[in-house]
Amino acid sequence: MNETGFRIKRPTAGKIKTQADIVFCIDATGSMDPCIEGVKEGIYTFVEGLQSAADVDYRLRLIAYRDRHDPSCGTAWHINDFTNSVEGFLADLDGIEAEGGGDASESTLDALYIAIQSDWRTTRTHKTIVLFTDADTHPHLHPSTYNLPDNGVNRVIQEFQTLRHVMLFMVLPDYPAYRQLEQSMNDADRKIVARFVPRNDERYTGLRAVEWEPLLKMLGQTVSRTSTAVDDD
Amino acid sequence: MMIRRITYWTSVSASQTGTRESNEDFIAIRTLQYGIWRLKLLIVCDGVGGRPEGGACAVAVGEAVISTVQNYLENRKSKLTLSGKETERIARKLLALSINDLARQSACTLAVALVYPKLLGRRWATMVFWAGDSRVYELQEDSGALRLLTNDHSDQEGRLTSYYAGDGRVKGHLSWLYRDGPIPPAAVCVTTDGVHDHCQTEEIRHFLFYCMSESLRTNERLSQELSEFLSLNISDNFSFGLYYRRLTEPHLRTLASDLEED
Repeated sequence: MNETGFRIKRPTAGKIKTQADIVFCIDATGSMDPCIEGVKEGIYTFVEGLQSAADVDYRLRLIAYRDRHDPSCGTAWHINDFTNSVEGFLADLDGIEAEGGGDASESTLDALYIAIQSDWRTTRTHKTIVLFTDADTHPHLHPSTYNLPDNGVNRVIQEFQTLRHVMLFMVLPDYPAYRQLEQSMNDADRKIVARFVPRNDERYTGLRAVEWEPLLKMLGQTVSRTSTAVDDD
Repeated sequence: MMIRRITYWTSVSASQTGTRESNEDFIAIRTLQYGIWRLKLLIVCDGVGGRPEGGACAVAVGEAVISTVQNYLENRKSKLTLSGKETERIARKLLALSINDLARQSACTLAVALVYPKLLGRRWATMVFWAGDSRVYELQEDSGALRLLTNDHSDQEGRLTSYYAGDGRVKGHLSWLYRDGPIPPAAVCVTTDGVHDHCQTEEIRHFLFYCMSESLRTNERLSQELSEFLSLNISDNFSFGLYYRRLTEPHLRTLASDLEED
């Protein structure tokens, strides 16, 4: 208190409403069949958490991907635009079935590349990509996704670098390409949560029981300016 | 004989890591002597994330700015207090700082305010220099309004359009302003975006008046109060420097009459 006894009530800054665009990339190939319902339930839980967090203005996008590199995988991808209709999003999610995809690797890099190219809101928005898969990725992007020689994981990493306020939340097996992705995000001071599950985990416990708390916490934080728009000479 | 009222000032500053792993901010409040005069320098630099050595860049730029201003003051020939015309001269010296051994790709913002009495205290002046989105605010002594003296150098997506690079040079541009008046400001503060992007301007004003009504004098106390003030929105490093006048109770009551008393 000051010498005169006049005292102003302690202020607390009001919670600032944050903005988040969230893309869910879900491996919907046949090998995910034992856990796809568990993954869906996990996403329902997460979306419920978002709904109860009144201070997040969010949009949702679904990318159910399969294997573009395998000509025998005839099942189409399911790629939505962003929506702020939770009912519409959950209905689309509910319709996803695990099928197709013959060999061990899937087109995960392609799914990430498409997610990065989303129609994000530009102003102060958490650009969030959530990835679920039980498989390794093909090492290169399919020509229908990106048709230039630099089509490996580094292409996807560079695309990530162009996004401001990006977050990556992924639950997947421990393969080198995913580790490289994680490392690059950490090196670039980007937000990432990587939950690595054992390869060939027949019980799929890691993919079924996801802890969403870190992601919800990140989404609740206000966006900071950490980048520059002026090129170095 | 006219008796001039003595003005008492207090300066405090705080900087915290927030949810980040390291603090890449630099903040300082220094008293600089020139001839028989003194001025108060408030400075904050915010290291840019995603680039190397952001924190080291902030420290190097901050110290170099203080040193540059000090050198300017020591070498000027006039025995009078700083004039408005000298703002640009100082700015030109700040455009290229002497910094060695830093990665050129490192980057930081700058906001610096020089507050000082002129003409034996009959007028008060403030010089402000900035690059990037760190800010200087002034709490006006007559109205109690909080005035932002800087404008952010950033684009719609929040990317900085001006900043200091690790070689000590400004990328984009350095802005400056000079203002003086017959009465000193009630307070001057500097902030990084970890503060002003995480609360409303009116809330900063409320916080300033709270600090003044509490006669806050230690950095530790300010740090604690700042944490509580921003508690709902902390997601970055945050730094805050405050230089305020100790006003009389009636004066403070008048200026903060819209704020709830405890």
